[in-house]
Parts: sequence; structure tokens; C-alpha cells
Amino acid sequence: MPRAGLAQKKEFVAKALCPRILVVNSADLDDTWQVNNADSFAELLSPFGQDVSAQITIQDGQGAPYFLDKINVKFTTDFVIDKQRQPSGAEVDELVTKCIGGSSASEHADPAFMSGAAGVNREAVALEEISAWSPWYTLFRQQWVNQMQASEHESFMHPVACMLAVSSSDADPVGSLRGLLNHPTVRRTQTQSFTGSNLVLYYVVVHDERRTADVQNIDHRFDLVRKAFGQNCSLLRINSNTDLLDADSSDRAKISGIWSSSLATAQPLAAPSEKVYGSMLTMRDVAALRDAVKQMMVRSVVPHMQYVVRILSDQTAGQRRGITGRLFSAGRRYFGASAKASSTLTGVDGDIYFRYDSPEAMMRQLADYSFMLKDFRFAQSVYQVARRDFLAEKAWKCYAGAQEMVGLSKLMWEVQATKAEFDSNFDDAIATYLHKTQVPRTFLAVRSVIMYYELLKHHKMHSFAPVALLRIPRGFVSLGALMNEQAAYAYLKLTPRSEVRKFSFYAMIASQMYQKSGMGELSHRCLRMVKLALATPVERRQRHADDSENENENEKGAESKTEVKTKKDITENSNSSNVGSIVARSSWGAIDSFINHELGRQYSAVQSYEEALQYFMALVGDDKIPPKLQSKYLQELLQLFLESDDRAAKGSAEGGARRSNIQLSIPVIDPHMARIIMSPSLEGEDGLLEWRLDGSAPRPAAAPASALGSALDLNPGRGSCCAVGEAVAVLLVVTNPLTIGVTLNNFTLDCEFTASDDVEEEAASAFEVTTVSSVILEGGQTTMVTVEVVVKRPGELSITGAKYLLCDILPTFRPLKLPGRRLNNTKEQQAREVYSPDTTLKFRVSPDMPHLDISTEDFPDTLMSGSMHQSSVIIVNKGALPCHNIVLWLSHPSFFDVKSPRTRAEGSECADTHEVYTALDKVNPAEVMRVPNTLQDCSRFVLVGEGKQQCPEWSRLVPVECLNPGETLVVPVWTRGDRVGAHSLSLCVGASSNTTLKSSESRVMRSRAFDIDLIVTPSLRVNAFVRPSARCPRERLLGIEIENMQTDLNVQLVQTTFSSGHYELTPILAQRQQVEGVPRRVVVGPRQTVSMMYRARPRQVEAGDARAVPEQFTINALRQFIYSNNKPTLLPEPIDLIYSNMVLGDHSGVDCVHSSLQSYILRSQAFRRRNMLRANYPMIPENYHRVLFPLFETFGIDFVLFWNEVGGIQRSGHHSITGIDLGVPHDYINEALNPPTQGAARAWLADTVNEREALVQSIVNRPNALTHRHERPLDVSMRVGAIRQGASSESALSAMYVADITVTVYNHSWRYAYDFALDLISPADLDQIVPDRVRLDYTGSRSAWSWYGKTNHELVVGPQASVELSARLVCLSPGMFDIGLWKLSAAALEPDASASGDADPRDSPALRLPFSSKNLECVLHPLQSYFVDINAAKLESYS
Amino acid sequence: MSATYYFAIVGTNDSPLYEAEFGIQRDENKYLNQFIVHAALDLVDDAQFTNNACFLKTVDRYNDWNVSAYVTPSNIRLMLLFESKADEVVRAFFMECHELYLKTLMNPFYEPNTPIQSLAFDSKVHALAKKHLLL
Repeated sequence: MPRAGLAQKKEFVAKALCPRILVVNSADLDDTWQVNNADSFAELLSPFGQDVSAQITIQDGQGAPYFLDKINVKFTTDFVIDKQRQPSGAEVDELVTKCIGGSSASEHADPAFMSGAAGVNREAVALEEISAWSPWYTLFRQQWVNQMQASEHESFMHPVACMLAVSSSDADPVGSLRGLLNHPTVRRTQTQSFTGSNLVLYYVVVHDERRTADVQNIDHRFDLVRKAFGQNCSLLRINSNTDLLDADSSDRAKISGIWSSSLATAQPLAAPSEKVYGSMLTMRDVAALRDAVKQMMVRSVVPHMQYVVRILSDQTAGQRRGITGRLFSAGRRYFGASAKASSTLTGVDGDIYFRYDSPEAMMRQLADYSFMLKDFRFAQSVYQVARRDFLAEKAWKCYAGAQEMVGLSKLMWEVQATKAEFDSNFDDAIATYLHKTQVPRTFLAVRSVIMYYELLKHHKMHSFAPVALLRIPRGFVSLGALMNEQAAYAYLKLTPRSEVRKFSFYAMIASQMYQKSGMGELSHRCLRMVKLALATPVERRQRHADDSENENENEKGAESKTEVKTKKDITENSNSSNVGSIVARSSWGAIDSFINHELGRQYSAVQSYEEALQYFMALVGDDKIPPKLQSKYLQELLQLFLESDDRAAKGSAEGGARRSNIQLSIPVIDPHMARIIMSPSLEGEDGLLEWRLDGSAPRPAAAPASALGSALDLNPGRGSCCAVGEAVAVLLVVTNPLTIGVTLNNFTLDCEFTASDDVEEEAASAFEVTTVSSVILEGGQTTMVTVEVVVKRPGELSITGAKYLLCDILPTFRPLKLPGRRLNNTKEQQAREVYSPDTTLKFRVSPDMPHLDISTEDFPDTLMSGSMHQSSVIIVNKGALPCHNIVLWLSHPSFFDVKSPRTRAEGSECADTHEVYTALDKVNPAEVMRVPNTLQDCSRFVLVGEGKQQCPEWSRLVPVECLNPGETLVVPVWTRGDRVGAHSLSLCVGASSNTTLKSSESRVMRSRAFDIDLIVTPSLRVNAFVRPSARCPRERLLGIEIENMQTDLNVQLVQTTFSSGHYELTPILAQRQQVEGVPRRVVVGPRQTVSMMYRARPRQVEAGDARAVPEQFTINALRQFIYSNNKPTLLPEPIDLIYSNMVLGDHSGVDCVHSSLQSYILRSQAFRRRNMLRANYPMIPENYHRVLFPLFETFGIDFVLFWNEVGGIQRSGHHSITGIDLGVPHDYINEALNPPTQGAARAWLADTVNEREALVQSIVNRPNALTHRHERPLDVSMRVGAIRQGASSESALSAMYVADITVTVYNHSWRYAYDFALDLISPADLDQIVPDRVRLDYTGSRSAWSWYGKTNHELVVGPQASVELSARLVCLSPGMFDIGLWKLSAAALEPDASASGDADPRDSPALRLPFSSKNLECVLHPLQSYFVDINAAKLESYS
Repeated sequence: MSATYYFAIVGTNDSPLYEAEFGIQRDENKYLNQFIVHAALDLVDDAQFTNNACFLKTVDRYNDWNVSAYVTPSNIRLMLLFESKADEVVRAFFMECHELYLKTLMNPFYEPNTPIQSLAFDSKVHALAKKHLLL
């Protein structure tokens, strides 16, 4: 390997700046070197100038001896001082290119430190030399130095000696030698070189062994020469291989190798010549040549140089030493201008230099000679002095040269120097070369940089190198690239730790410069180094020893953290596809995108499209790149793809298949947002919902199918399910992260289908995916893309990814894969991150699945409260199977009246429309009807199927048996504005294909849920109020107040209907209406209020009709529920409801007893009651409501008001009030809370007791327990009987009127008999007896009348019975008196006790129970005045 | 006068937590900014051991560009690339940025050593730049 021969570092400098010897030979000697294929006699000698082992002790400038081991010498044939060649940019480029081309391909391979995947291999960095990383630099350096020219400012290229050679065959060698002294070269050297006439001449007589004729004269002639020229002579015998024997070819090769290797070292770029050097020489001749050179050096040249040094040292000592020299020079500068002028000359380049005999030039020569003799210390001191002088004379080139040499001497001198001592020298030298001389001395500056850099490398002071290298002149791009690369390596070689980040920066600069100068390969190499460096973890600096322990620990922590991160990075890389590993990924976004872009471009330039595409794709996917570059990158990517595609098409078909799998990160498709939507063309939400029989809302089927199992084998845990041949939409959310717009063409999905049937068919043909031809995404835009999939066979389809052409060019595939739920069941799963397979983008195609088109029609969004609006749900069976089971669920049953569904054949219109109000000409004023009193679930309707078992029997809904394929089912649904406000109603239709699911508690059905938003505006406000009847204690008066809330609408009241289990209500008609007999229709104008009064009279209960009252049922059931272990199971019995209708006006009324309207009203009531119970009894589970509470209470009254709109669109509607409480029954719920005397389950556990107590408390504290405050179990009424004047027997009363009053006390209670005490109060005693708050409005005269006789009665009144007692009052004069003044103290009797009659009611155990109705003991006062008219006309004759 | 500044907060693992450019924006040279600052981290690593102060003055130079650094006690490095500016001004800017960073650090929702996404932080840094650098 010839490179190994190239001088290293310090040697390099020494060799470059070695002494030169001029060789001149006589013409007859030419043949001697020509036969040996040498170009000149100098070339024949040159190999032996290397490392001449001098082995002599010489004296330095100050006379101290030192040992000179080796010395180099170079032989030249010419000497001339020319104008310095200034390398042009093109020349430098050419040189660099040649150097790079000159290094073999194997040397262009990546350096060893790049071998690792995880960054720069630091060990390799430490082991290797920089020169191994860039062999072309070594070549370049050698080439550059080879171009050195002799210059006036330094003596290095000037010959120190001249060798004159003549042939031994010359008859007069002395004469020839003298003749050679006049050789023009020698003459020129003697006049122009530093050495001048002091040039040492060395005389050589060369004997060519081939000339055997002269052999006897050799010694004689040599003696002549020696006599003439003294010691500096030698005789050289060569060319002894006279017979041209090549017997020993290895010898031949060895001899030839001496020259060729020497040539390769000196001129590494020259083509290896085929010439065989030294063909006439034998090993003995070679030794003779080497000996001759050595003799010349040791005997003549070195001593001469030493002599010159000594002479010059003496001559210039004054300058160098002490103040005198300085004064002398100062004096000369200031006082002797002429002397100064004489010593300076202007050189060929226009720079000032000094005459060779001037002190300055002599100093320089002295220093140079010392340098050549390796006396660097002395040389440096001399250079320093000379430098000062040059500076003073503004001889910039000389100054710069001296500066450079100062630095070089310091570094050559083995002592370690600090930066300040040499770096500034070089800095100054290079700056002066470049900026201060007449012409920028580019060559010298670069030479200086090269030598400085070599010495820095030698001293391992890499930290100075980058700065030094970058001092090269600007404008040479390739040179800059070379130097920047070296600078980068210098950073890498820094001790104690390499600066990888700096390395990456300079490598990047080098890469760009290489790129600029057209050396793509090296640029690429540099860039890859940058990428690698960026991936290198940063090596943390170790703290100094004096730092505290604590900090050390911190540092370690940080280090390990970095390590962990690195590991993570590595695993990340290995996990991701190979894209991740080749593409730059650091956290510095702009750097990454730059590197990726450059590498991509470079790869595409060398047509390796595979890598280029990956880089570009990484580039485009990065959303941090600025907008301007985004479009550029994208276009480049597309262009690149087109090119590569062209090539692939030309090449092979293999390319096409591979290309379809390009994965690009833009645009972003979030798999989390992807949705599968069944029946996309319809409204509502499709899904598999779990339906429960208890009427709760269908909920998403979450749990796996229960053990009862569904015949459908719907596995709800596995995502959605659709019917065969059904179109399924897949909704993808596509976001463009770039700021530029892109289009996606031919957007479609990639699916995998697994068939579940056994049909042998191609799986691909089993489904069809639609293609969206173009999706346009503006910058930053997010759109939804819907793709429809139709599967034609049962099985399972999973969507694996999206495919599209980016910008109509780049086929892209985006996998849509997600981890599923995080599993957390087993210990192993908890310890690691385990995910279940994802099912969101997977659906099953089931052959059993019903395929229905369900749509809603004409659902209103605004309604007046109470008004009805007809809408319908239309169900079309589109599947291949008949559908046997369709169920409708309503969130608010009181808002919807569902009528019997009708099927209709396809195409034909359904003729019959359902009217919600059935007109009836003759409406019975009172009608009794038995209705079930159970709280049924009223939110579920069976539309298709055997609905009898599942429907409440009073729901007058007749389901359809079966919905055959192609049939249409129309379900009329009336929407009613039940309550004022904005409502969000939901409606859900569930369907399954078979009917075998009756028994299961819940089932999973395919369901479609609709949300209906409805705003109900107020129309009428209806209030009810209750009064006791003063006339008849059994009756109560019910007032209905109707207010029209509308501002411009007249409402006509059509009919009122009351339903109650106990009361029959008759209207109290106004006088005029009474005359006509028929109440007129009442029109309520805008903002008007109308009130109507009704009399509520208890129905006569026939004897024997001892039906259990619902209240009693509740008491028993609740008590059992609380205190028994056996929960109640009995349902309440049906109740007879009395419907009291009143048609207003003589028109036809509304049938609400026998029509389907009744069932709707019942449903609404049940719904409201359920809601009420849910709110009141939160502790009672809802599934017990049915067995605890009946739908109707006996004494509640439900009121329905039907109305018509007058004018306008003639809307009609109804309002209803449920549960009007006449205030009669007790607060019976509390009684149920008392534990039964027997049969109570004992609670063993404290928990059970606490639970029970909490339940009891919650019932006691129920929210509306206080609303029953108007309950009055007893009512009192009075009737005036006979009125007499002047009771004969008692004279005191003779002048007074006496009236018999019959007082009736009625017991409203159905349960208790009451023991009561009635005090009749005279007005005079009013203040004493009656508390203030009662009857404050008594305005009658206090003294006008008084009770007379017994005013205190104690009696017992049975349940729902009345007791009459008589009293008397007296008054002085006739008149109207308010006699409603009494006080009734009542106490309930236990039902049993009252029957026996003998027990003391106050001792009844019921009354001492902790929970009791507050009506069990009560004090009642009259609520209203009761005027009686006592006048003379009514006087009876006193008998 | 072209006033271009590139400011970066570099986390302990050498990844930028926050980047901002002030003054004249030059998109095409953005990678150079990052490169210079990234390379200067090597010098910061050295300089922080020779200097007790947080503010390390100008740590690196490349052509006309200067890089100043400020190392927080938690080894977060604030780096500013600029052409010419007085040390004092840069120091004041760094001090206030450090304070802002500390406030961000106190946010319980901010995971230390992760990129700072907060828009409020961004606008405050820009306000600081306007106050100190872009006069």
C-alpha cells in the first residue's frame, strides 16, 4: 500500500521543509541515468535523500552540541524564483477531485465508527486515526506541498548545496566540472538564492561500469578532481550490471521498487509508471548511491549548514541580543532612512522583501537553516526577532512567513505548548497571507493551515484544529468541504470526550460543500455521518474530583436516565418498520427534515428510489416543516414516485405490487374515530341492544350472551353485526396536518373477510367496497369520509386499512389497527401491558340478522301542549327472512299514543287513518268500567309477534303476526305535547328474526334508536281545587280552573271526563245552563280563565260488593315488604272506575271509555305514577312497584279535558290531571310502616335492621308527605229544622226564636271508625275556645244568637257512615246567622275495636304506634261560614 | 439591521423543549439555526463546568452568529442564537425566560422535560423578546 509510505504528521512537516540540493551533471553523464529509466540524475538520487541517517553531533546556534539522528534532503535540477502561482478555484477543485478519485473505492467506505446502529462508535473513534477516515485528505496535503515554489521570503526551496557530476570517462573532469560551474542554473542559483555565492559545491565523478575502457583511469581522474576541489568530492561507481543478467528477478523488482515507492510517496497521484527503474544497477550500486548521498550530507552539506548558522548567528547576534540591537534598529529606522531603503527590494509579486545580504534576510536564513537542522528552539527565537523586523518594515509576506515559522518551530520542538503560544502565530500568519500582502497568498496560507493541522494532530491537540482548519481562504468550495470534514473529525477526536454535536454540524457543512462542488458521494457519506451522530447519545462529562459526592450521584442518575432513553429509542426503532431505522429521527425537527430531504435527494440522484422514497415520506409526514417547504417536499415526493414508477415499469412487474404498500403518515386517519354505521341511509342509530322485560331503556349489549342463550348467537362482545347483503357505512375521520391542501383519490378500504358458511368461493368476491373518487383536504382541514361495504355472505369482515392515491399519484395504504382494551385480569396481564384484540373495526355478517328499513315519518318538533299530532314509524323488511319479533320502546309513553300497526304491501298506500278521538253522539254521564289496577310497564309495545303475553291487556294494541320480506309495517304513533318545555324523547325499535325468546329475562336484538327533540308550547293551564260541601257532608266540591295561555287562540272546551274509583262527579251548572239543561260549549279566549265546579259524591257501595280497596292492598303489601322475609308477589286486583263525562254543548262527545284513547290515558297515568313512585320511594327497588302499589287509589280522581281549537287548523287535544286528592283518605302509607303484631321476620343481623330502618325512614321522609295536610276525615254539616218563637216552658226564652238544628257528622274514612266529641260554640265564647287562627273572618254579631241546650256531644261514627245529632239555637230576632261554629275532636278507633265497641279507643294499640296518620287524632274546625236564615215566615206554630 | 434571533430551550436529554424565532423569520435557514444551537450544546457542556454563573455569555460563534447559553440548576439549557447584542440584554432576557420556565414547571399538568405546548408560554416569551431583543 503506497499510502503507508506517506509521511505522517511531524515527519510530514520535516520532509516538506527539508534542505534542497541542486544537481547539475555534464551531458555525457545523461546516458548513465537514462539507461536506468530515471528522468534526471536528481531522480536517480532522490530515493536516497529520505531519512539519511546522519548520526552526527552538531552545535546549535548558541554553540551547544546536540545529536542529529536523521536528515532528509531533496534533489532538484533547477532553481528559479518565479511569480508565485496562485491556485484558482477550478485548479483547487480539480486537485481535490483528483485526490478523491485517487483514493481507492474501498477507502470511500464508511469509517469504522459508523458501523454501529445506535450512533457513533466511540471505541472505534478512539482507536482510529483521522487519516483513515478520509484518505483523500492525505493525498491532497501531499499534493499541495509538492507544489511549493521557491520564494524570496524564505530559504526552504533555495538549494543549500549544488552537486556537480561528471562522468569518469571524461578526459578532463576538472575542466568539465569547472565548465559546469558556469552552467546557467548554477549561475542563477548563485545570484538569486539566499545562499548566493556561498553555495556549497560538491563534485561527483560518476563511473559507469559499462565503460570498461576507462577503468584504469578512474582513480587518476578522481585524484585530479580531488586535488582541484578539495574534500567535497566523491567517486560513484554504478551500472555494474553490465551483462544485463536478470538471473535474480527478485533483486530486480527490489531495486526498481526503491524508485517506484519513492515516487509514489512524493507524487501519490501520478499514474504508477510501467518503467523498470535501475535496470543497470545491482544492489551494490544502490548501496553505493546511498553511501554517496550520506557522504555528501555528513561530510559536506550538514557541516556547511552548521557553519553558515554559526556565521550568521554571529553576524546577527547584535540584533538578537539585548537592548543594543533594538536601539540599533530603532536608530536605523529613525535616523538612517537611506540605509533602510537599500536593504529592501520589491519582489516579483510586488511584496517587499530583503536583500540576501541584509541583516533581516540573514536572520531568516539563519532561522531556516537551524530549522532544517532541527534546532527548533534556536530557530524559533530567531524567527521571533526576524518577525519584529519584518513587521517594522511592513514586509508582510516575510512577516507572515516568520510568524508561521515561529508557530511551527514551537510545535516541532517537542515541548508541550499552550494555545496562546502558537495559535495566535498561525492566526496572524494566515490572516497576513490572505489580507495584507499585495496578492492574497492563498497557496502559502493553505500550506500553513495544512502544516499546522498536521502538527496539532501530532500533539493530539484536536481542540485547536477546527478553528485552524477553517482559516482557509473563502471561495474554494471543494477545499472548504475537505477542511470542514477534517474539522468535524477533529471534534470527534477531541479528548477527553468527543463532541459529537459539533461533529455533526461540521459534517453537515462539509456535506453541503461537497454537494456544491459536485461530489455527491462524499456529501452523502457526510450526511449519513450527521444522521448517525444525531442518534448518538450524549456522553456526559465526568465531574471533577473535587466535586461533592452528592453531585456525583446526581450525575449518575442523569446518565442512567440517558441510557434508558437510548434503549427506548433503539427498541422504538426496531419496532417500527425499516422506515424508522433509515430515516433520521431526533427531536430537532428542522434538522431532521433537512437531513431527510438531502438524503432523499441524494438517493434519488443515484436512482436508489427505495431509500429516497422512504426519506421523502418521512419528510412529508412531518407536520413541523414550514408551509413553503411542505408543498416543495410533496411535489418532490410525487415527482420521485413517478420517476421510480417509470423505472419499475420498465424493469419488472414486481415493482408495482410492492409500491401499493406505501405507508405515509399524512393525512392522519385516527383509528379511534373510525365508526361502523349500519343502514347509513336511515336516520337513527343502529346497534345491538339488550332489551329487558322491565321496561328500562334498551342498552348496548355489553355482557356476553347469557346462559339462557339467544338462538341468534349474537355475541355482543364482538362488535356490531349486520345482515347479509346490507350496506354498511364505515366512517373515517381524515385530518390533514399540513398547511397545504392535498387530495386523496380512489379512497377505499382494505378488508379481510372470513366466511362462516362452507361455500367454496373466493373470499374477495364476498364483499364490495365502494370507492370515493376524490377527497379534497385543505390545509389543516378535517373531513369525514364514508365508504360503504356490502357483504354478500355470512362471515366476519374486519377493516384493516385505508387505501388511496395521494394527489392522484402516490398509492398509499394506511393500516387502521388499534390495541383493544387493556387487559387486567391475570397477574401476568397486570404486570405487562396486554391488550385484547380490537373489535371496533370488525363486524359480523349474520344470516339470522333481520334487515329492516326503519324510518320515522312526520314527527313534529313543536307542539302545543295537550295537542295531538299524527306521526308514524314505518318498518320495511328488506331482508330475506320473515321477521317475527319487533318491539317498540318509548322513553316517554305519555307523549306517544301507539295504535295498532298495519302491514301494507309494497307500493299501495295505507288507506285507513286512525283518529285519536272517537266521536260519540251519546256520551253516558256516568259509566263504570273495570280496569286492571296493576302498574304495568307501559313503555314497550310489541308490534310484530305474539304480543298477548307481553302486552298489558288493556293496551288495545293488536300486533301483527309476522313481517314477511318486502312487506311494510306502518305503526301510527300520535305525538302529544304532554308537558310544557323542551324534551328530548327517544324511540327505539328492536327486531329479531325469530320468536323463541319469550322466557328470557333479557334479549339482544338489533335495534334502531331515534332521538326526537320536541318543544311543547303552553296552551291551557288547568288547575283543580277542592272544597268541602257545607250542604252535604258526604260530598266535596271540585273546582276546575282553565286558563288559556295563548295570546291569539280561542279554545273551545268539548268535554270533561273524570274517572275515579269512588266518586261520581256531576257538574254544578250555572243558573242559565240549568234552565237549558245542557251546558253550552265554553270558548276560552286568549288569556281568559274559566272555572267549572263539580260535585263529587261517593258512589253508593252495594252490600256484598266488598272489594278490597287498593289502599288496604298497599298497606298489607308494604308491611310485608318491609317486615317479612317473603316479599309480596300478589298483584292488585282490578278496580271499577267510574267515568263521569260531561259533554259541553249539544255536540257529540269523545269516547274515552271504550276507545283506544282510554288505554293511552291509562298508559300516561301509569307512566306518571311510576315516575312519582320512583321519586317518592327511592329505596324501594323499581321491580317491586308493581306488587306494592296499585295504579289507581280509590279516592283519587283523574280529570281529562278535551278541547278544540276554534278557527285555524282545528287542532284538538286534551289535558289531564291525575290523582286529584279530595283530601279524604288518611295518610295510610305511614300505617304500613308499623310492624305487624305477628309474622314479622326477625332480623338477626345489625345490617338488616339498619337497612330496614333506613327504608322506613326514607318512606317517612318522602318528599310529598306534607302535601296531605288538607285531609279531613270527618265533615260536619248543619241543617235548620223547625223554628219556633217563645218556648212556653221556659219563660226566659219566650221572646226569642228557637231553631232546631240537625248536625250531621260524616266519616269519610274507609278504614276507621271515629270516636268524636263535637262542641258547638256560641259566638260569645268564641274567643275563649277557638284559637285565633281559626275563622278569623267571623263577622256576625257576637250577641245575636247562642246555642241552647246540650252543646257537647260524644259519639262514634263508623267508616263511611254518618251520625246525626240535634241541637238548638236561640236568637233574639230573626235574621241571617253564621252558625258554623263548632269544634270537633276526633280519635280513630281500631277497626276491630270499633266492631266490638267496648274497648277504650284511647288505649287502642294502633294509636300508640310510632308511625301513624296524623288524622287518627285530630281537632277540626269549620272551614267556611254557614249561614242560616231564621225569619218569621218559617215559624212553626209552637205546639 | 437584520435582527434575527433563534431561541431554544433544551432539555436534559438534548431534545428541544421549546423553540421560537424572533425578528425576521427565515424559513429556509431554520435547520441551520438548529444545527448551530445543537452544536453549541457541546460547548455549553464544557463551559458550565468552568463558570459558576447560570449565564454563560457567548459560548459559540459561527461566522456572524453568536450563541449564548443559560444553564438552569436542573440542567435545562436556554440557548439564544443572535447576530449582535449586548451580554446584559441577553442575560436579562434569559433570566425572565427562566422564570417563565419555572412557572411552567410548577404546572402540575406539565411533565418535566417534555416539549412545552402552552400557548401562554409562547406568547409570553415573544413578549419578552419584544421587550429585550427587538427594540
